[in-house]
Amino acid sequence: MDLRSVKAKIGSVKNITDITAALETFAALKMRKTQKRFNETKEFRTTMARILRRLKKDLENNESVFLEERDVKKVLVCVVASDRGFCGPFNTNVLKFATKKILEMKEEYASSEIEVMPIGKKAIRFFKKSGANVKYTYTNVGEFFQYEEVKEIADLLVASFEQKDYDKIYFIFTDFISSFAQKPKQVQLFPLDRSITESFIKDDEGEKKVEHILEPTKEMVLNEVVREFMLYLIYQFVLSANTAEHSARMIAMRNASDNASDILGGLKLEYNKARQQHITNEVSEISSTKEAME
Amino acid sequence: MIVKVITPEKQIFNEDAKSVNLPTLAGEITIFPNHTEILSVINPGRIRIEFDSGKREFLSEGGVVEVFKNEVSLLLRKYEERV
Repeated sequence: MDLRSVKAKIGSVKNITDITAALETFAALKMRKTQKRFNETKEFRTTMARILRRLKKDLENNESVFLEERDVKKVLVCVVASDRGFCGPFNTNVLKFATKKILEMKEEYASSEIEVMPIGKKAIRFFKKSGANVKYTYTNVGEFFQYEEVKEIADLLVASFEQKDYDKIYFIFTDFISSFAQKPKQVQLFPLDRSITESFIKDDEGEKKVEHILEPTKEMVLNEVVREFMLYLIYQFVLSANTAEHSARMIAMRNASDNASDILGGLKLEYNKARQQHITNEVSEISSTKEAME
Repeated sequence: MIVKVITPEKQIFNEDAKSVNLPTLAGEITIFPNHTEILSVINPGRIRIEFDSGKREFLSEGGVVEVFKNEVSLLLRKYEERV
């Protein structure tokens, strides 16, 4: 390679390093912010789960609309991906997982209709292209930090189950385990799968049976409690997906920066070699001219 | 009696209090120490918490209240403190 083209390449690689480094810093900031949020929601989660555990007996009698098992005619699958790329295998993983699960569902509920609700631009594009049955879509979810912002989605889901638009609602999102480990996960939201809430608290926190006074009526209280918890769960899942997205982006960008600096090292070596050769050529030219003149 | 105010986003406070007054679906109730176990739905409105040293007032959009073992948990959807 000649000197000039190597130099141009070094320049462009340097530019890329700048961009990835900036993106990494950004993602790291956002990750810290969402992680903090995620941890702060813990209190609500455990309190709610404890209440539900104490209510176990009442809930087993199916006194809440949200626990009612109906004949499955229509299934809704919500899939959370990101709006933006540059986050490594994050979107591919969750979308692949979702496709697999939807295929499984098609076999399980062969006679029923399956609808997909993609959340995030990448998911929307993916499901529209693959010809899935899509009615509602949501975007801009990656910037969600507040409960209020998820409320629109949560309210829609709760209302559509109440009105029997859907008989089963699944939620597929990326579960945030740690900054380095995220895994796609599927949960059954409606009717509420109680193992979700059980997983929030440790077993030894099991309390003795208590008889709560449920005012005004058992049914009203149970419905309201489960509804609150539903809204919260959806918030929690979206937050988890966001935290996972920002972590994935940070790691992807860090890898890109590392790769770029590796390439930069190689290019510099090549540049020096080319420069050396150039000098050697010039020297040999001078000496041969000199010889010819003598 | 420990009173906890929790929203989905975070725990707002966790303190010792004398009484809690709040509107529920079954009407307005006031919870004093050693209240029996109860679970009810909070209506939108004002919640008053009294301490030895003073009191605090919140406006909420509703939620769930639980009294368990002399511990009051208020799970609120959205709240605003009145000063």
